[in-house]
Amino acid sequence: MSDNGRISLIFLLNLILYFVAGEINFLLETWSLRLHLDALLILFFGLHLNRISSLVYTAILGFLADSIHPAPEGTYVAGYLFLWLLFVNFQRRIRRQNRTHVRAVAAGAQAFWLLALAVFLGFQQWDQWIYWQRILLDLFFSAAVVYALAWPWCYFQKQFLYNLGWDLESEISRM
Amino acid sequence: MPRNFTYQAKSFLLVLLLLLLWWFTPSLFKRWTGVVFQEFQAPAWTALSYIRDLRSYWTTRSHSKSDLIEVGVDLARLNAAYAVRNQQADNLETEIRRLEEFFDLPSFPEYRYEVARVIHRDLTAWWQSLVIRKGINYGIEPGQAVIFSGGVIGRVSKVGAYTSTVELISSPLFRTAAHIDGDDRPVEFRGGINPGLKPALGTVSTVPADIVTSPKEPIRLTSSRLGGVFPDGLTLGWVYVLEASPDGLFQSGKVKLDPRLQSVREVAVLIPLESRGGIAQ
Repeated sequence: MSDNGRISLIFLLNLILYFVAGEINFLLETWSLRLHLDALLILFFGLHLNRISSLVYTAILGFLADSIHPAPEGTYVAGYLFLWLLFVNFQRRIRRQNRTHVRAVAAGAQAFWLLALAVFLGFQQWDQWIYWQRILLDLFFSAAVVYALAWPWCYFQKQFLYNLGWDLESEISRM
Repeated sequence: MPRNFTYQAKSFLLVLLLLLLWWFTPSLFKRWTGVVFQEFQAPAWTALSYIRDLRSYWTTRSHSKSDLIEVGVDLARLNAAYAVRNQQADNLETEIRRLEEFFDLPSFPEYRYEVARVIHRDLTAWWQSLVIRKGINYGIEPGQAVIFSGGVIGRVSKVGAYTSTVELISSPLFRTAAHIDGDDRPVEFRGGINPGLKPALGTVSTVPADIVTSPKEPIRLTSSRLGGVFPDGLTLGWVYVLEASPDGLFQSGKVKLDPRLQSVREVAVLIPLESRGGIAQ
């Protein structure tokens, strides 16, 4: 299988995660709580895969999220591309084999993205404590879940690629 | 995997180029892209909702026969009560038609109820919306009213081929005319900022100064046909406290919405029918 074929399979895995997150939110929103997993969807593309394919797939995920949310057009596309860029920059600043580094970067990026949305989309509600209570609740909950899942999710995708004949670990070690 | 000095810089330039390209793309194309991606993922959400239905079917199958018989008896009682109410409603409908003809009044708008399952929820601090499993294929159009067993749930904001998006009354973007139950004067209802782990809230304003409420005797806020979307008399929520505005002319307060708003599984879209006058002509 070609590299592009393998990356497409990784995209499909992340697409499944996107729908699973929607299904989890269907249950969670009964208690006015929302799980945001945006950073987790892009983490592996930004940290491990090559530039063009990962950028294209990140943009597609951004378009999908953009079409279902009533945010101004392009908010999620721009945000996801920014998150991808953040992860690409962290390729040189963290040890990608270190689980704490990967987890911290993912959770930090998720928290940063939610804060950016809170500032951009809710500027009329900045002075309302209830608004920030809701944002902080979602932020801490999502960041905690992303922190817990970031390493297992990356590890699973690496193992998946390894089984398809692409050893990412050895490529990273050689750098 | 390249890791040289310019790799990050090149990535940055690439993203910048893409964003500039997006910025200068005509809005018609952007809207088209939105519709394409929405329609692309709609079958997946629909499939997930069918899986949920199947799961609920097998959960129901696990109930004992005596449980089912008990539920059947309860349903039979409810059916009997509703049959009587239907007869009363038919009588009232006949009376309304007779009076309309007698006084030559314009008739109330009539609706067809299109019941649809909820397949996706998007309840955040910024917006509150639902996606339902029916779209243009059932004659649903943007702006139509959506109700559930607890009253008004929202209005259709976007329609796809097989799905529609409903903006909830709890959404901060929602705004409509309303009435205090038993009072003809219009008031303004808005969706509120929704706290976490608590039921959704709304706000009511321009309430006349003579309206009184208390936590022990809350007043019901009902929909108004003045906005042209909802029929009269459907529950929006309950007002427990009202505060006078600085000029003393009006009052405003928070509206407690039905907690089932966040867990509703089935809603009905009100599709306007041609008025009786129109049909007669």
